[in-house]
Amino acid sequence: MNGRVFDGQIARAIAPDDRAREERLKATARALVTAVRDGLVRDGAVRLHGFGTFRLRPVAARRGRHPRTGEPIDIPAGWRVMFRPAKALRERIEPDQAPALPIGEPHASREAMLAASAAAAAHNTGRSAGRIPAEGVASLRPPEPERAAAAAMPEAKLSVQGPIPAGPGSDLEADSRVTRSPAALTRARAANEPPPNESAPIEPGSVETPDVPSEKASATPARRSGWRSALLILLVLVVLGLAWLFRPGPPPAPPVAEEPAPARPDQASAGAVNGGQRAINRGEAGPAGTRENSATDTERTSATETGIAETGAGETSTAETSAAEPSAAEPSTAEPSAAEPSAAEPSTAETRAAGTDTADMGSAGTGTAETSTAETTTGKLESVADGDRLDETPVTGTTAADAPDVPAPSVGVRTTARIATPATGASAEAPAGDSAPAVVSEAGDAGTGITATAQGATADTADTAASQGESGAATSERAATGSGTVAEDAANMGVADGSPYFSGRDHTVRAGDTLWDLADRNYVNPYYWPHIWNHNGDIANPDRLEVRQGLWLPTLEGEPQALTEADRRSIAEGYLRLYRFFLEQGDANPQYALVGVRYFDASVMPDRLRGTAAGRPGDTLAAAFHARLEAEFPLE
Amino acid sequence: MNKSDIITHIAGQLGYSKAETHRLLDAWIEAISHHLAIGDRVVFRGLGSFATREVPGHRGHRPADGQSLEVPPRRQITFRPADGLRAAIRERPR
Repeated sequence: MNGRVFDGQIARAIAPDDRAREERLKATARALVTAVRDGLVRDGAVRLHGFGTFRLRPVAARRGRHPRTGEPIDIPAGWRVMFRPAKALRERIEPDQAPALPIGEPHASREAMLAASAAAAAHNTGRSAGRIPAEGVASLRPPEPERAAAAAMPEAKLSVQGPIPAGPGSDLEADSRVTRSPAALTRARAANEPPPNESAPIEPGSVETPDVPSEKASATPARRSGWRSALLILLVLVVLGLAWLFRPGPPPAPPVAEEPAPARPDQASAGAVNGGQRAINRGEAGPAGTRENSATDTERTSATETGIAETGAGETSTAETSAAEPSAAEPSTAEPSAAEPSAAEPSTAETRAAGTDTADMGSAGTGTAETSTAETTTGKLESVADGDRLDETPVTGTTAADAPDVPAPSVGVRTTARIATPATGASAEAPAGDSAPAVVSEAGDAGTGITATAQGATADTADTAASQGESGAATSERAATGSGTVAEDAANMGVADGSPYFSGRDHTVRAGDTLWDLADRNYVNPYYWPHIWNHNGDIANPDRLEVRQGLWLPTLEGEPQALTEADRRSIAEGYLRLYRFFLEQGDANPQYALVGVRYFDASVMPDRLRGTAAGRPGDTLAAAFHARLEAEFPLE
Repeated sequence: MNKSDIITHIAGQLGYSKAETHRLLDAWIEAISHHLAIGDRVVFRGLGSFATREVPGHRGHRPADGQSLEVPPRRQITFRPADGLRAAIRERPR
């Protein structure tokens, strides 16, 4: 665009389907004008943080000439209104400023924008929207939800950047519209009003105004406290777990890498709980099998083995945890005996803590640890290996198993192995003590129990195993790693067959397609786009799709209604991937993507990142984006 | 007068809560910034119009030591106050 935009149009664009809000915006605009005017007259300066400062500059009396007649005129002293844009704004319009994208939106052409920017003001309209000032989070005005919303919205509406607007009709179009359920519409509307109007108690005075604030406020503390307690619990568990780990354990049973054979049967069942989602991840991760032990009802833990997992046992649905568990665990060999059982019953608390994650920028995995607890005596350690499909590496997961005898409460450990190369499943057992050698294994990272990350190396699976093994001195299971092939394929394949997302369809990229648009057309909400990315491992740069490139558009299980855990997890993983991508790109504010991770499934968030700007509850930016997500895409 | 003063002012005038006003104001700021970023001229009735202009790169010199420098091209925001605003200001005593 490069045209002229009036305030009324903007108001409409910000609140496209929301008349009331549009009116409020307009009223605000009028009031703003008078406020600025009065402020200037009274103080001579009006400062609008994040936007700029209006200031009156005195102009001395001077002598001018009448333009037509040329006769001299005395011009009295007066004032001139000056406007100095705020730093955030200046940087935002700076041509070579890396255009930050609206949160999750893949802007197709960062490079293009960069190139074009200098010359043409024209820019790529649509996508540059929510640009994030270079200074990063801190400088960012706390984008109130609104603001965030605005960031995404305006262009969505104003600048039609529709992917091939024409949308060669085709199936896509059709589909997409279908998915736009009423719910979707509602959401869309909600979008503008980040915090739902209807909820909280209203402030006196405000008629139709949002009560949002109050609601939000109340929610936040709650959330915060929840987090705290969760962390605390986690911490305690970790400590116990470590204590237990380091105490001499029974000889580790040689883990046998078994055939992965047993396919994971029912992920579906797991679906109920997280299991499903776990499974999914696994699936994605690699062509590996997933296996889950679920301990207690509530919790699901899944250990997945990628590659050759030892036990391929399916995951068990929660209910019959006990039974299931044994199977799962056992297979792994060793002495399954104690462990499982115990695990099973303790059931109780499951904390879903997050695991730590370790990997470098991204390795993603975080585990959720669940603990089954009850008495410490029997512990079951379950480990989940989750192969995360990190950026492009294929993954193989490894896992540790759990320990039988020990008293310790169980701690779930989720390991992520990031292995580029194929690993052999066999790698065997991990002797207790040794930790992974070459590989990078970061164990015991931060808070959680143990995370081992295996990176890169090939055969190192063993190591990973080792590392884990270490953890599980007592434990016997080890991880097997699957072979990774090229990441993409692996990922794709894994997805295809391993997860519930086997359903979906292929899509051939056409000119103008973006993941954002595809998500918009295929799902209820475009913010789910990372889901697509997450299932198309070969897309290194979400901003660049090649025409005629084949994509897999997985369905979202819970789509028309609400997202399932698996869905959320997948989306969160996509956001995590986005975060890594941002890091690689040197994006000014990569943390932004983490908000999506946190929102959709906090358990995916690597521990290391938990304390980062966007990851901290209370952080304004995070809170803002979070509130916006909440308003737009209520998960429950 | 700063943003919070303005918010208080507007909130009082319209009967909105401050938080709401804050959001609304931020929405405006964000939207205007966005349009400026993509090169539009934003006309805000009663306040004025905002636009960007390209300032070509040129040779300049550093005031401190007179050293000659290459000033890179950049983009600048220009603001032209609306007539109403100018008229109001005109009344202001010096």
